Amino acid sequence: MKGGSNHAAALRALNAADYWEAPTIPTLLTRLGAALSTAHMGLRLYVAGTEGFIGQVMKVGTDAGISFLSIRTEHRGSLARRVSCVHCKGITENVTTNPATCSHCGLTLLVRDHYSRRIAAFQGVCIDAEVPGDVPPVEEAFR
Amino acid sequence: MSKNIGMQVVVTSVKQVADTVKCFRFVPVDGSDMVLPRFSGGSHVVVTMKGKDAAGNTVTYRNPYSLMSSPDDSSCFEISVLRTENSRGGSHFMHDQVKEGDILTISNPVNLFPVSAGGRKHIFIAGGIGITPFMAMMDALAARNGKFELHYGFRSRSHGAYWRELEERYGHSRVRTYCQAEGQMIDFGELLEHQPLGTHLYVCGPAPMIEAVKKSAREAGWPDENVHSEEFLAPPSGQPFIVKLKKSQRNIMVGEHQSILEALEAANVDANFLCRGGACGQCETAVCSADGEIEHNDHYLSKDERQSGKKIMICVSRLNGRELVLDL
Amino acid sequence: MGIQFKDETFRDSFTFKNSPQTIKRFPFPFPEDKYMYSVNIEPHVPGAKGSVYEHLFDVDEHYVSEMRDRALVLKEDPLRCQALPHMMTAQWDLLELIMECKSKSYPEHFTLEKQGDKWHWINRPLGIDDTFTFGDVSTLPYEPMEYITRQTQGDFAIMDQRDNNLWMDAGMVTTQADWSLDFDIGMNFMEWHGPVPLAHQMGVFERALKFLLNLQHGHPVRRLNWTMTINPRLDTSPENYHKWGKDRTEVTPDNVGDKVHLRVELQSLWRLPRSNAIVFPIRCYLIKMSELVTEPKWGRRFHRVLKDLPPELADYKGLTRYRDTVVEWLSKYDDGKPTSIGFGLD
Repeated sequence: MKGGSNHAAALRALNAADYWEAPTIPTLLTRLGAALSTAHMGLRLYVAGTEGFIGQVMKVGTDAGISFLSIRTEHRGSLARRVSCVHCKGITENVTTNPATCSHCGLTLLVRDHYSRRIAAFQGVCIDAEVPGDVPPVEEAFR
Repeated sequence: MSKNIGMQVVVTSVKQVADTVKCFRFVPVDGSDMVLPRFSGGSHVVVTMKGKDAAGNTVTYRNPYSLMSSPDDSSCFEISVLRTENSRGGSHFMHDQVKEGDILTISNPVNLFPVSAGGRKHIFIAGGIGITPFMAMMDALAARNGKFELHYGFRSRSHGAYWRELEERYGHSRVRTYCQAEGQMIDFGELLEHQPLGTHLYVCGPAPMIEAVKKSAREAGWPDENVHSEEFLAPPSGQPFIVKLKKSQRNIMVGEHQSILEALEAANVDANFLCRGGACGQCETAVCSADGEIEHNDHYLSKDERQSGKKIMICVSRLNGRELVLDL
Repeated sequence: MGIQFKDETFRDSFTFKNSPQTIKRFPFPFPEDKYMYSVNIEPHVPGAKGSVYEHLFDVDEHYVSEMRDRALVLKEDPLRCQALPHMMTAQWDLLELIMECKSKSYPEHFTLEKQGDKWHWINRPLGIDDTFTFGDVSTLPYEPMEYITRQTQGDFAIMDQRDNNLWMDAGMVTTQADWSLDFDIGMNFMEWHGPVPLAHQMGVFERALKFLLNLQHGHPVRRLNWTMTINPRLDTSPENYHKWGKDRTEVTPDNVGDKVHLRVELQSLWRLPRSNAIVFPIRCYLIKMSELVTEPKWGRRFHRVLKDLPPELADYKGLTRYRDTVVEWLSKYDDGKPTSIGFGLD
């Protein structure tokens, strides 16, 4: 990942069985999925990064048959959340505020502390469903 | 509702299937409208036996046995019983007393050793009589095209039960047998290599074998979540002691070869149980005080719970001391 | 003979109401004048004739209309019914359980004939007559869970048991009190109950989980839960909250009797035999406030329960906006007289 490029030389020098720098999270996930599809028991998955990143990697791991209980994770960096809109099912990345706007359907969402591993996202529920427009002040909640 | 004493069945066949193993077939008692429930592979039933001890007194034995018949066949249940050398009475009773036409009481099936439904592949490792739960598991997996292999070790060809039938039914690619008398041993390390992600490992057999498999799996980097084992403990013997029931104000003597649960049942105290082998947690009982040291023999309580001295699994654990006060 | 099924709606025109006999059998959930979250589990065994407990899967006068409402929900949002791939054995277990129970309980409405794995199922109220091969998905119009729960009142969650936990890996959820199957599927017992206030500190879910892990086949259990719903709307899903949420602002002193409903869930839990999974049917019963107060004890008691409900529970259940209006309305039916402990009528 770009932010870590200054560590690249040091990491490469460790001579891992497979070392790969991905330009984006989606390309990394695709590559990881391919590597896991031919992997054997004994391979263990360790993930460090933001919450949204950890969630997406865990999903690739569990889709490959790894029990999430056996995946070791370490949170580093921003607390920004991936949020799944319960209404339109769209995922909004890098949500730092509560409430937040769904990037797909435009509803104002209350971001709940309710997390789905399968979707790798927190749940967002329309905050002004009862009285449209009655929205509390936006707070920087997840930095 | 946790009392699991269950249903009456009639024994329709008793077969010697190996040197020291007999197979028993049960069907519902004639004329009853009872139907045997379907069950999941890995389930066991607790069989209640009324026998006599050396002094001629009536004794009740209750032992858990894995169901080995096809889970999809609700016409009968089958179990296999190994005649153990240090039997507390149960296995000798089954071997020497039970004959065709006898009526026995069995519990509802309970599964403490299920196949992990989402597993990509399943590897079964059996030692001796430990083959029984795998027979029902393989039957169910084969019916839905699940991927599995069995590695089955036994002392000699005449000691091992069912190996010939299993080889015939599933073929040598899925069933491998290892005969100790012929110098064959399962190489756990080799077995655990090159297994695809999502493989689950199941082991049932003597305690040292279970430990060896778990150790090999850990060394090969397998997560604990993918390694499953079942071992029913027979309640160990020990010095007699007194159990005092705080709520019902009774004192009950627990004999040398009795478990606390058995002593309570003999005194007509209704206690909860399911597996009677220290695995399920159903008979967990609160300890008020102990004059002596509690010997925890179960697989259920955590280290902290044991150290707290406040809980005991009365099916297999006992007191090394004078008196144990239970909140019953 | 048999049940007279009503033709009514749970949306738009909202023509749902209970007949006097159905009011009498309403499973009023409060054994005393206050409410606290508890597990209150009891064996699910057949109960008094005419009660909702008479049969293990209760069918009532709303059956046909509720099934029509479910079909409408599924047409709009197919994700309300989902099953992870490893749950197929459990799906068949559930189909068998419901077909066996209903055909025994209501032979005039449902018939099941088996010849080996060739099964013949007749559902007269819904006009269904199907022959299929048990275990062969291709012989049914839907997967087995969807097939049978399109014909059975109540929501259904099926939990797989592994790693000493229960995992909600399949479900049919169209009449829910504000939870999303699509979001929650795959969660374990603790995660799924995450949003419930107060109960976690009490250790309620740990004890319940321990109990459920040892639940035995043939010994189902049940409990009641409750909330309130504005208008007789079955589909109060989070998915559609932005569409029905404004209902909560429309309660006035004049319309409480007809618009405000007590919603009781009869939840049961069953071990399934072949899969070792647990099925959790959540059957919803609605009653209008005007219907509720026809039973004096219920009017008195519900007034007291609602008035003293802890605010965090009122918030969790979504009652805060209209609670005072309803309490005020109910106060007319509470003369302050004592009520008897338990569910019996005064």
